[in-house]
Amino acid sequence: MEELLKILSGICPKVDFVNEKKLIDDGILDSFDIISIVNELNEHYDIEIDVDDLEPDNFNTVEAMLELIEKLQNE
Amino acid sequence: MNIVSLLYLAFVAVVALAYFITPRRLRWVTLLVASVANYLSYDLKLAVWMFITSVTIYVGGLLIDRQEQKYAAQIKARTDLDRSGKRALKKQNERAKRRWAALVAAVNIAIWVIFKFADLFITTLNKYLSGNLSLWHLMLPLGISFYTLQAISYVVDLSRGKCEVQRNYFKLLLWLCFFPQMLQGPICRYRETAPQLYEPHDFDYRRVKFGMQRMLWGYFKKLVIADRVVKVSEKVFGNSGNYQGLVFVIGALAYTIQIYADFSGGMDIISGAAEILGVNMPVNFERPYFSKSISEYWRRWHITLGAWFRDYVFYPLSISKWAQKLTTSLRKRLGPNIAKMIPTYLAMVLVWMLNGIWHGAGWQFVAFGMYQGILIVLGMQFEPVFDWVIAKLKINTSCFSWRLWQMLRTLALIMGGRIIFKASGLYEAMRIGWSILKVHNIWIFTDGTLFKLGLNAWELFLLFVAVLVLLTVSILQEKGYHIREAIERQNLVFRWLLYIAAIATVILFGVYGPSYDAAGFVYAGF
Repeated sequence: MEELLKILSGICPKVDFVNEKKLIDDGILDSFDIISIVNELNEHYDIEIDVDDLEPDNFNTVEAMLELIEKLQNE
Repeated sequence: MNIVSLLYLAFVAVVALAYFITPRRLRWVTLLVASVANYLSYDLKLAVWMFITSVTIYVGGLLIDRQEQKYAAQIKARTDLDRSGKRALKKQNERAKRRWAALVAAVNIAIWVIFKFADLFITTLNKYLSGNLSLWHLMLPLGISFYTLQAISYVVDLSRGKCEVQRNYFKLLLWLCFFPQMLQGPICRYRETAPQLYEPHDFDYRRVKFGMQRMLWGYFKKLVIADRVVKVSEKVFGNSGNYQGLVFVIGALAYTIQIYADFSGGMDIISGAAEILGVNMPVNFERPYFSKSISEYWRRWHITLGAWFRDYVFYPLSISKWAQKLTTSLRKRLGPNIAKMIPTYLAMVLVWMLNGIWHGAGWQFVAFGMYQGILIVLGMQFEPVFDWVIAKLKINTSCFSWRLWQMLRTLALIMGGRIIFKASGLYEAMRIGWSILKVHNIWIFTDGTLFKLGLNAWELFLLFVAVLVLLTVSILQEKGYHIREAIERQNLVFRWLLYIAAIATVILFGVYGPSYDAAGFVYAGF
């Protein structure tokens, strides 16, 4: 979790990833942020986030992102 | 059938009555009959194209589903496969499904492109190759720009496993041509709207009342504001050679008000009619002129179109293998950060070009799209510079005046886009822009010029009051007030006085008359 938070804060330093629970639904992250995050996570965790995975539910919270990473790592 | 007509109101009333007295299991059939009849009433011959689209997505959907079932059977049978084998099979299945989706999308895009761009293409060929080909003068099937995107979303979502296949052709047809939203959107997603269409809804007084109120609000926006202010924008942009400087700012402001009142008013009428029948349309506008940046504006204006381009063009392109390869090849030359941004920016430029083209066949629409894209990129690239300036000047960014400045700045940029959109051509748009920068004819506010722009003093006063009402309601909505619920809590006498006053306002102050063209919804023309 700490590692992921560090990556996310590096991409969007103004966003409070710890407390925000509706990062997509509340428009805190826009589509550019999402693409930057996807590219970074793909590279860092050696996973392949597909366009099918780009659902608000997968990016609304840092926990959801972690869950997605773990799911893709286990596939 | 024009949605601003007594005939349409009668049609909605008859359909609603028929819907609620139909046996529950057949209610969706009532909607289908009404929707098909409504579409056929526009043009019998051109309607064929909508049916062709519906057949393509129906067959495409079945083929995608067959592929999915084949994959499920393979996974079940191949117990010997290890993790990488299963992953390879999954990839193979995804590719096969996407191929079907791409084929269906290509067929429908080809139809749309031929109808929309054949004449532009021929004109360009004639111009640059000295050809003498005659134009086709094709009539556009109504709503094609909307239903084509909606149709594509179904097969792509199906290929991505985001919705269930529809095996009943007539149910799928209903989703594609549901009569309230057929002509100007919103662009619905199958998984959100279709279940509401098939599920029987009982008569609910509160919902019907809310739907009627929303329709009334839409008629107010369309008839009292849009169809009044259109006279100013038509006068200024239709005779742009006669004007200069600040008159164009007035014209751009008028068009900015007109297009919002026109399009969002249309959405209110559409959503209200659907609400009466128990169907909630997706939100298409969230008070876009309160946006504090261009990118925020596009998240609040024509939301379903923006979301479509994001989900079906921008995301797939930005994270595609192509984007990854480009990033890798650029990394050594430009460094990791810039290399990562370039594919995303390229995808965005393409999205905005397509967005512009979607609005019309002409280079000025491409320029309109590019203008939006460039502003967004510049906003992002210069964000650190803006932050630095704000910090250096110690500007308080949490106060109202700063937010107001951001909104006005964004509105000015939006008006710039409106000039590109509305001017008679790209060159004329540039001439208008240059005139605004060069000529400072502030005296137009005192020498009576304002009253010669299509509206007299009384009409301007009416327009001012109507826009003030729209602004007040928008501010209340922005602050989280639910207007219809608030009205509901009032006493019976007050409520009915309000309804009567609202209906009387639309009847008395709506713009009608011999030269009035109620068919002229701006977005229905796309």
